[in-house]
Amino acid sequence: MLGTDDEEVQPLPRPAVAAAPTAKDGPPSRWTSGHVPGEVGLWIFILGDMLVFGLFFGIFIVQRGDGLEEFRAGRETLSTEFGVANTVLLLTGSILVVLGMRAVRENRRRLASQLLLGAMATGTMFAIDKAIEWGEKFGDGLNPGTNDFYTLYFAFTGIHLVHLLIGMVALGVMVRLTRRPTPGEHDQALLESGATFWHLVDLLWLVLFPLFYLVA
Amino acid sequence: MQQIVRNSRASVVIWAALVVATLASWWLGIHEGGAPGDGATVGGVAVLVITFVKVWFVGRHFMDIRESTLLLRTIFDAYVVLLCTALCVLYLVTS
Repeated sequence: MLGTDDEEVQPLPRPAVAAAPTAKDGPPSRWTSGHVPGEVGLWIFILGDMLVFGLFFGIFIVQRGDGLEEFRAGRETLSTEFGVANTVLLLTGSILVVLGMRAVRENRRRLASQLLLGAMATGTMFAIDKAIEWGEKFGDGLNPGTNDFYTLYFAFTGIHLVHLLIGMVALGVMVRLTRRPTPGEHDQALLESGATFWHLVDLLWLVLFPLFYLVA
Repeated sequence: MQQIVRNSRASVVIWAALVVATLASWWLGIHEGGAPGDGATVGGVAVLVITFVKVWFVGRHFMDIRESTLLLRTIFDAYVVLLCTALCVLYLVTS
């Protein structure tokens, strides 16, 4: 049966910490010994993404310096309550994924599936909040062409929203994996990759929120 | 479920601390954000520092970087420290 009995499925093996060194390889490097969660290729993307967002954050601060009053006025049109609620939603989504991954490791696969669905619910609520917030801005005649503040606001939160939607797809794939009767060979790496990407969505928002809603 | 939470107690405590830090940032943004015309404020710098402490915890604990390779841990720690410093300096210089 599909993920209905936590005791029937085989536990996922934790990937080996590091391949055993051979005489040819020499001793393992202290820099590369250890377990990288998920796929190494995903980490290259994640670190690149974090670098690009780092540039975005710097651009925001510099542009703010060129238009302090414009950015202050822009900030005051944003609903800080929405920003706080969205931050708490994504943090909650992250802890649900952490608990979900713990449930996977303890072979509680039905519970893992439920926790990951809970994380998807927080992502859905975030997207709804964002749609309401954007709708209010457009309703008030504020759009990306209004001034530099709104150009950056719509661009950066829009790019983040795309990340969130990709993260939701990843969570959906993770739910399917936890419901498989027999875990596949690469399931653990795929689950860890999905979880890592979801935490990235949280991490990026943690910086976007104070920039736009608090220090602008 | 209770067992899973018990076994992940450290992560749950960190999540609660991150929520409290978010509320603290909100308070700082409202009460220490400065008067109209003010550029940089101590509250603004504090909000940025709190933000990157939160980022560090999410990366280290939720993304499991703390159990990863020294290379990844070093890259991530350097990212957090350098970006936080750069943004704080830019914030102060451009205000």
